[in-house]
Amino acid sequence: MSEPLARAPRNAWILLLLISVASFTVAEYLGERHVAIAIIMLIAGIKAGIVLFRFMDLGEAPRGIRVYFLLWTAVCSGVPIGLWWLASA
Amino acid sequence: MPPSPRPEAHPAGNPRRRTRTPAIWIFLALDCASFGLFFQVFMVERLDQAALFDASARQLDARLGFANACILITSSWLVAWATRTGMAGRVAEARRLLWTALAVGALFGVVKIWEYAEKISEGITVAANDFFVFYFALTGLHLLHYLAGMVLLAILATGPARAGDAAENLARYKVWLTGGGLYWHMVDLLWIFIFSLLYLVGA
Repeated sequence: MSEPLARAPRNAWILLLLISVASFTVAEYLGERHVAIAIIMLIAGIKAGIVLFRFMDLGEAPRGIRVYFLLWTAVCSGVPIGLWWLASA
Repeated sequence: MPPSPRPEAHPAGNPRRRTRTPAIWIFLALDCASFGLFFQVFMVERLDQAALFDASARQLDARLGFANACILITSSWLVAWATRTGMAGRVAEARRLLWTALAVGALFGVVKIWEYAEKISEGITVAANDFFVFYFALTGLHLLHYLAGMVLLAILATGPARAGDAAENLARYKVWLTGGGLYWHMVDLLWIFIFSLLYLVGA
């Protein structure tokens, strides 16, 4: 295996594992519920972005597909945060 | 009448094959849309029955969800690596990586079966309450996608067809490797949100 080929996905893999640990820790130990949920869903959005761009090479996909998946990620992570905050307001 | 211009040669051989990668993207987009809708319906129901959903979510073992997240991330990374290696023409190495991805990915199924068995032994089934309807429906639907992905990875790990034109077979293999890889990453992508919504939000 040549290093340059493996480097990009390997860095992304390590980053994904680290932020998964962060997300799990926030869920288990952060007492402030609203903040915890916002952080959990934001981290989920960031993880999805890493998978999309570093593993799936979304940057090389047609523009419409790129826009669609960015919106999908924003909706999947943003709407639960918004709904939670609205319900508790 | 002058002959119509021939389409330009494509690295994959047949120009019609160029449409296959966008086609897999469209399939993934539609599949993700249905899951996305499911996530939002779950969240609305969750807010409507907050106490019940919180109590039920606490019955899930977030460590198992976390283990499965790490398993899928690792398997997805191996597939991304295999795809890059395969596209560079190093098929034997790509196949080894795919077998490794398959072995790591199999652990997800083991953990999932363990988790389902644990829940059922505790008397928690799809009929328990609304939270567990969503739990079994979301994780069950994801499990079906996972199983299809495992079959696809196993087929890809066997390598390109041996009969016929080797160059043509390799070109076809690269197209399937890209598509199969994208599908497996989607399985990982969906678990990121399922894990966060079901296991972490209520933890």
